[in-house]
Amino acid sequence: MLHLYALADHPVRLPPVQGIGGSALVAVEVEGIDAVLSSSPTTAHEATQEEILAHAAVVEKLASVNEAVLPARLSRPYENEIALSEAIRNRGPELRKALDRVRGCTEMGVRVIRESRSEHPDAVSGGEYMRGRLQEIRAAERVAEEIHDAVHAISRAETQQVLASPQLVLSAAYLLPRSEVDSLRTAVEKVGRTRPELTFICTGPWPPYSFALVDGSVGEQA
Amino acid sequence: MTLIELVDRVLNKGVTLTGDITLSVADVDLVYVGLRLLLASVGTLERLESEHT
Repeated sequence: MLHLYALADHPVRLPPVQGIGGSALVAVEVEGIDAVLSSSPTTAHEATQEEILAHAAVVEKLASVNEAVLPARLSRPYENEIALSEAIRNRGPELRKALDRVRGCTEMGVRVIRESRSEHPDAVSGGEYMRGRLQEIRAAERVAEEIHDAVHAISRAETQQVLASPQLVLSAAYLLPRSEVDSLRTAVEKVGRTRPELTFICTGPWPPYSFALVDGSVGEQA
Repeated sequence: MTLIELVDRVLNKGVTLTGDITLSVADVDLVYVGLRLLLASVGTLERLESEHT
């Protein structure tokens, strides 16, 4: 069984790290795309902390020495090289487009967190509750828009999720040139200073996990 | 915060070639800790940590 870590431009540079369970990394080329693999010691359908961290470590090292890397989601291992090659061949054009998109770029995460939710007293009417809820959503959307406006000029693509949980006002990811990481942090801090009631957190730089999707769900900027 | 972001990316983002469903996580503690990190602000987190030590 084979474990897939990432796809990259051929020829990929393999960093001197080991894969899951101390396995050796190998690259297999399929029509100009290199798949970075190792043998997989397990066929289990559950991921362990060790596997997650080992997978993430390989992807991060790959992204640090290659211009275009598409991190693979940790998934079930592939039967053999033939099954994997076929899967890559079937999605060749989409994968090449995704590689072009992330080339030279890195991903930054932005989270906006609200310390405590404004409590709705039990006595309020349904109408008042709905109005309050609507106000919360609109306020969160305004924050999302402010962040978007602040980083639009430097980001190539973004994903934004508003109010995924009552405290999580915004969860966003931005794809941007590696040289712009500090600019993003500065831009987010600047928005944060105008909203002391919220906590703004930047994470990353990450390998471009959020922009490796090939189903067209990534919001690309013109 | 970084841990939950990492787990979220590795398990839910990234390219899939076969449309496989997301794996479950064997280590429940990891998810629990991650969820706590996700929802907690830095101040809340420090408080939680001091309560648990």
